[in-house]
Amino acid sequence: MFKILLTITTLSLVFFAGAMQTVASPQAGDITLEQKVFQEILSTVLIHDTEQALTELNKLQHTLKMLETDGNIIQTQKQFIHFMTAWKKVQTAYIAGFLNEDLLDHPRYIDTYHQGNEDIGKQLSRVLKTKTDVSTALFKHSYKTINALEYVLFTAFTKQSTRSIQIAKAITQSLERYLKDINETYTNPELTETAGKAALSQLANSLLNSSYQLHAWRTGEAGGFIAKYQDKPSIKRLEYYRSTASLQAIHAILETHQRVIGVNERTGLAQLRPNQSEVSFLQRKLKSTYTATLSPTPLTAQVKSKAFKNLYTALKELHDAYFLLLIDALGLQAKILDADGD
Amino acid sequence: MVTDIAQWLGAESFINPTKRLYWLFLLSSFLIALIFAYYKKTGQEWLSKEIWWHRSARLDYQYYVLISLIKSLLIYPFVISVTETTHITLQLLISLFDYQETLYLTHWIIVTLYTASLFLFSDFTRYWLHRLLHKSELLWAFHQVHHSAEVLTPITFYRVHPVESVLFGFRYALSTGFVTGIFLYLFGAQLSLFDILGVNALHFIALFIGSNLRHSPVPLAYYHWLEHWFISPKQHQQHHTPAYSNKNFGGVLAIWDTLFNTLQTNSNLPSNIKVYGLKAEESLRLHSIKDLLFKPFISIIRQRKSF
Repeated sequence: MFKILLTITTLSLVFFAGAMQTVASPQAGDITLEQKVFQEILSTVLIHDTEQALTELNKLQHTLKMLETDGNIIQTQKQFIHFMTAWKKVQTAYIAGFLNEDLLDHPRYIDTYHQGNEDIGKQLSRVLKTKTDVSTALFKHSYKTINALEYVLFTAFTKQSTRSIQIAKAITQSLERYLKDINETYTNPELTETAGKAALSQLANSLLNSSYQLHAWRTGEAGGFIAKYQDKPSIKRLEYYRSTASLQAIHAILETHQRVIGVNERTGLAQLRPNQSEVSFLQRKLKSTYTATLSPTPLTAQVKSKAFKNLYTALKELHDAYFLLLIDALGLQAKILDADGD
Repeated sequence: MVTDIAQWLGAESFINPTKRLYWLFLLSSFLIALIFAYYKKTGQEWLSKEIWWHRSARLDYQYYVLISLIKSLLIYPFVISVTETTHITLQLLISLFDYQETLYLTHWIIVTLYTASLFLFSDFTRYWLHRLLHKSELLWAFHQVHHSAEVLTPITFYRVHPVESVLFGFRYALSTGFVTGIFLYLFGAQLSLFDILGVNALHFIALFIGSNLRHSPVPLAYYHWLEHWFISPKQHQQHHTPAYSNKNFGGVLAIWDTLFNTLQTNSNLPSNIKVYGLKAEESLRLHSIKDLLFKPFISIIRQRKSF
């Protein structure tokens, strides 16, 4: 009797372990859902946006050439904003540093917003006044960033100064080099073919960080809504106050969030968690914050307005919605009432 | 609807891997008991009607159905969830230290750290809540319900007063939310859990290797040195005796009992345990469902009056 019971019990456990193994291991060559979703986002967002940023940068370089002859800065300034918004899309979903460690610092070489305490304007005005060779004068990374370019094109440009155009051209060449590195990483199958769950986690973290920066840096600091600048609003804390394009930047960032998360359950990261209320909640939050940025008034004119405060609040809620989604994605048992100490 | 009713009445526990009565855990415990019986050349008495149909065991079976219903309908809706506690922890960390960009570590390191931290902190809080249930006069009135069992079967695990269930519900939500909040704050979306059937892998292993034997007639003891690290079924059975009820408060790990001087190994104790239950002088005589639910309150009122 004992031996029969022992055999039956052991066989049941072995059978269960075998069934578990079959369920847990996908067959070799199978593409997991995570890999499928990553490949989709890679081509429709990451590669697409990087190529778009390079295209816009090339157009900007073209307008800079034209500027040398016609002196009409308006077209160049408009093109700068097109390029800047294209770059914001690349920055929002940036994971090239995860795929290739050599590119970890590339975003910092392109964009210095909220990094260090440098006064780019003050330093570049000195660079513009010297007669040193441009490549020598732009010896610091921060002198060759999009923020430096904005200063040169919107604050320092004068029709008499060919030096500012030379500096702007040098900056765009540097930006082009970094963007090409990013594009090469995203289009390198050796780096992306096997990427799946971990790459998606990095992508989600990029969005999480970005959602924090949206409310705390891009609106909270300028509007004086956070403790550090409580009730001391200042347009100078906006990301692109010189070009008055901060709203377009926020708009581009939110658009990228929407495309990565997906507008319905058949696109983007939402495919991984279909019919989840937290995903729908996040999608609704994204939609409402995106709509809030459609106002045509530049942010520089309204940091003290109620609409700006509302935008800040909505972006804060968006950050919260990301955390709620992450908590839900962990799949923890919500409540256990077993007396497990007994 | 049928599923809901099954859940309310406790039948769902047998197919839910987060529950101790999950069929696989019962089966694995049974296998361990069989092997133990084979080596000890004993075991007939463990299947005795005197144990499984004892009035205390019968009360456990009835109470199990009732407490499942109470938990589903009256407690679950009001106990804080892990989502809420994790969210509160995150908000607290952000308000104290500001938001930090998520750290990058290799995936398996993060998952291992999180799984182990969750398990360790949970086991640590289990130890302290359990100890508090014994040390506080007020809480002991409720915990006596569990200790009033005169025989131990896996169902005895659920012989717990609703007040104690609420406390353990809060303990779970607070400890899991606290650890998860910290890890989400540090690692964001890189966080995940080593799990088996959706249960923390370490917790699953603990359940698989015989948690159900803690409340059973099978006196399985470990090696003396091992009982300093893990609570054996027999150590927990000792805890259910009047003489050693202030020892071995641990859940899975014995390190907390070792650290805080409440450990009792089996090396110097008699091999067979004869008496489970409460000391004669503190016995509430809990022999019916009504007693189990209401006598703790009466006991507390009497305590207050006597002051």
